Amino acid sequence: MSFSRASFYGFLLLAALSWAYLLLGENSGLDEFSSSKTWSNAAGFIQELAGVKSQAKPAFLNIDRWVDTGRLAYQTLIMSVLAMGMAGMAVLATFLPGARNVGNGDLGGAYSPSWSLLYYLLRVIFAVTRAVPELVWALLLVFFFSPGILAGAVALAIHNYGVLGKLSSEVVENLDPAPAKALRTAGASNLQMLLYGIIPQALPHFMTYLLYRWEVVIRTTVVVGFVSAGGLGRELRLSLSFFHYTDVAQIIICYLILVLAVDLAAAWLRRLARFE
Amino acid sequence: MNKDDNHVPPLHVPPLIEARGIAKRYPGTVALAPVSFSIEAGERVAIAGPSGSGKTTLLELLAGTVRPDQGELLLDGRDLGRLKPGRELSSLVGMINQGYDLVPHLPAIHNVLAGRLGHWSLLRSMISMVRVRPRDRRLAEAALEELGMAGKLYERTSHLSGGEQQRVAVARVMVQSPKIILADEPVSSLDPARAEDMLDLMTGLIDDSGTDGPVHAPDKALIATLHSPNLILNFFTRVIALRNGELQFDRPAGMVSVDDLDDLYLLEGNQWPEGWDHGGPDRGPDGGSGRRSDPGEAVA
Amino acid sequence: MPDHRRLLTLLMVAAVIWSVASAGWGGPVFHTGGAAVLGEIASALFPPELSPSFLGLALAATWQTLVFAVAGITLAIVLGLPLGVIASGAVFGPGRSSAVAIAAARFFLAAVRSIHELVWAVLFVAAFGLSSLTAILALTLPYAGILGRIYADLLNSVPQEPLQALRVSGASPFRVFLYGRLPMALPDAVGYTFYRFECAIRSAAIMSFVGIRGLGFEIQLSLNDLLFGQVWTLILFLLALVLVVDRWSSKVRRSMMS
Repeated sequence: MSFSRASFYGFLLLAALSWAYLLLGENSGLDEFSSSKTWSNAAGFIQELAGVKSQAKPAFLNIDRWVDTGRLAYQTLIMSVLAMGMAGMAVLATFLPGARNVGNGDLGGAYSPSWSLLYYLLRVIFAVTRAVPELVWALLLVFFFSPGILAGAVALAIHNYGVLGKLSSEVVENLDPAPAKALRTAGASNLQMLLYGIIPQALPHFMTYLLYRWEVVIRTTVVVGFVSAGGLGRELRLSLSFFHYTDVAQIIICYLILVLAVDLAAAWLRRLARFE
Repeated sequence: MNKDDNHVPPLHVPPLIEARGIAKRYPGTVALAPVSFSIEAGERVAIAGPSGSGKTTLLELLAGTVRPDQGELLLDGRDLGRLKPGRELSSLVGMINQGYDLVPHLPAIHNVLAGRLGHWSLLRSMISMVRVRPRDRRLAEAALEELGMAGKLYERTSHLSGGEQQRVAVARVMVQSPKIILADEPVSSLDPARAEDMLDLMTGLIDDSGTDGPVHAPDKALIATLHSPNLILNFFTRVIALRNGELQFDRPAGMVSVDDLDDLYLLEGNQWPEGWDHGGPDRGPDGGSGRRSDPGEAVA
Repeated sequence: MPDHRRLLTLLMVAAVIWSVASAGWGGPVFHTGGAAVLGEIASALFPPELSPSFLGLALAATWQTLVFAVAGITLAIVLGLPLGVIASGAVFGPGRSSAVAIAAARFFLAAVRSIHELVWAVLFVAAFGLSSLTAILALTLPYAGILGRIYADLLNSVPQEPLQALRVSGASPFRVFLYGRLPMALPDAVGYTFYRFECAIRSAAIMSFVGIRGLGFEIQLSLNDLLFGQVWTLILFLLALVLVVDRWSSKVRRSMMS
């Protein structure tokens, strides 16, 4: 049996075990979801979101509330751009040594033990920063940063640095090395080889990945805002805890508009990056 | 069309290239058996032979991209192994690769100006990527103009046709202006008219080099791998023939016949490879006229 | 038009500068004594909490997180695959009803993946109360959205010649799909699904925010008590889990290619 087939069966087994463990365990939710009371409660929740139950004027019919929420959305946007900027710059500085073929001489340069060490170090950093969710980074960082969008932005930047760093280094590893090697005979030094031969080929991919990650980051900024007290996330958490459900609905709508706007912007910018 | 060699060999000057018993082995195969020769400025040398004969290996050894396993290689009297890459090496030897090996995403001007990288500091190389100095732009323009491509200066290299890309590779070497120009199959993908134009240009680079004076002494040399016998005999002054990594002959072009070159390509059993365009009358893949010679005859 | 790339760079640099300027630097950026805490956090890594009882706890928490991730991703595949197939339009002939179905599928996939799984989670918990199924559903919806979208894209970017050959030899559209499109799209689809499985582990971990037990829950508990050594141990377990899945994924992909 091939490894992939064995893995498939193994995964099926794991899935069966997981579902059994969760559905047979305590608080599985089976009882709740099969009781009609739960569903009527849920319907009530939706009604409260829409503001049809209470007497008070729903938040989304209130212009002032829209302005306030809009301002928070703007802050959330800033947080995402700040995060991508920091992550992007850090990746640009370190993705070349993070590629195996830069330090080991495959590109026509010489093998250098210090660059190999740097490669391993960077790969470990990419793995660790990438494995830890942004929320956990944010929880650690609030010990250090005062509440505000900066803490959230740095948490997002750290995690996405790992993601983008690994992707960008892999791009360099998969490049055609011939143009860089040919530059050697033209007299290029190692650094010039990287500058003229590798970077022009790697940058378009880097930009594309960066813009794809921005779409993910804008969705995550709200979540990070829960803990770092910034933007829409903080407001969402407060509104939920005070049961101001029409506010919740309005914030969700604003969030969706923000996500849509960023998706469109990123797609447009990606077209620019790929314009050949 | 024949090119005469009307140069005067310079005296009291070390040969541009001196190879003494250089050889290269790869695991399981001998890419190049020990070979010795010397090449003077002004020479135009063709390296002939079938694929796998060691032609490209020989060029790579001369370019310094590959180190010989044994023997000595001197360029302009200096040991190649001791030359530093960068200014020293790049002013001595430059290479046009078979696949051109240009950076596809860059506009042509940067690929051409890459020939100056040996002379530029890292800072200047970076600045040039963002804004090209007028002086450099004119340099690249002049090279491309001579190649008939002046308008393509800012065109993205991957958008150029194969022939145009090759000319960009030649322009790079022109801008680099090394004493030794190496070219790996520079015309194999060109039609005959273009091939002649290209070789005209490349041989001109050699013939017009050096000082103008009562005695014209070119100071460059061209070494190219080719497999068209007609082009070899029409444009080159000397032929070094290889087969299976071994030197078959090394003679002035005047003493080499088309048959000598065709015979290099005979496969075992004296068959020409299918589709092989040889210089003589059409004999066809099975040796149509019935001639059957034994393998020993193929070697001059 | 060679200047599009330059325009893009300019826009992105301008955006970053604008974001830095607007970040709200009024007031103290860092906590006083923050640097000291940071030092404490860093030094707690050497060594982290290694007592057997805590290691047992960490292992149990890892299992908790893993089962949620597996349950979430499997349900996401069950939901996302058919929707992705519909959204790709690969099984339909032309016609208005199929265009509507395709558009509806695309819209649903796009809508559910616009909202982060934790936001779905807080909404579902408010609506249905806290339970395993609530958390699983919250994870499933956005993951189904993204898996479905990718499956649709992969099915559509398959090379056309083999499909044409099948059609010419008389295969029905469904057969063309089953024997042509699906096998060609499978390797990339499996690779991407594994990648999403790795992401699901992280998402399952942060479900702790709504009260689901697992690595995230224990990390929050240890953080509240400022027991940074424990936090590092838990992070290392999470790292190990993620790496195992990542390795498994590359081996499967390599095995599929040979």
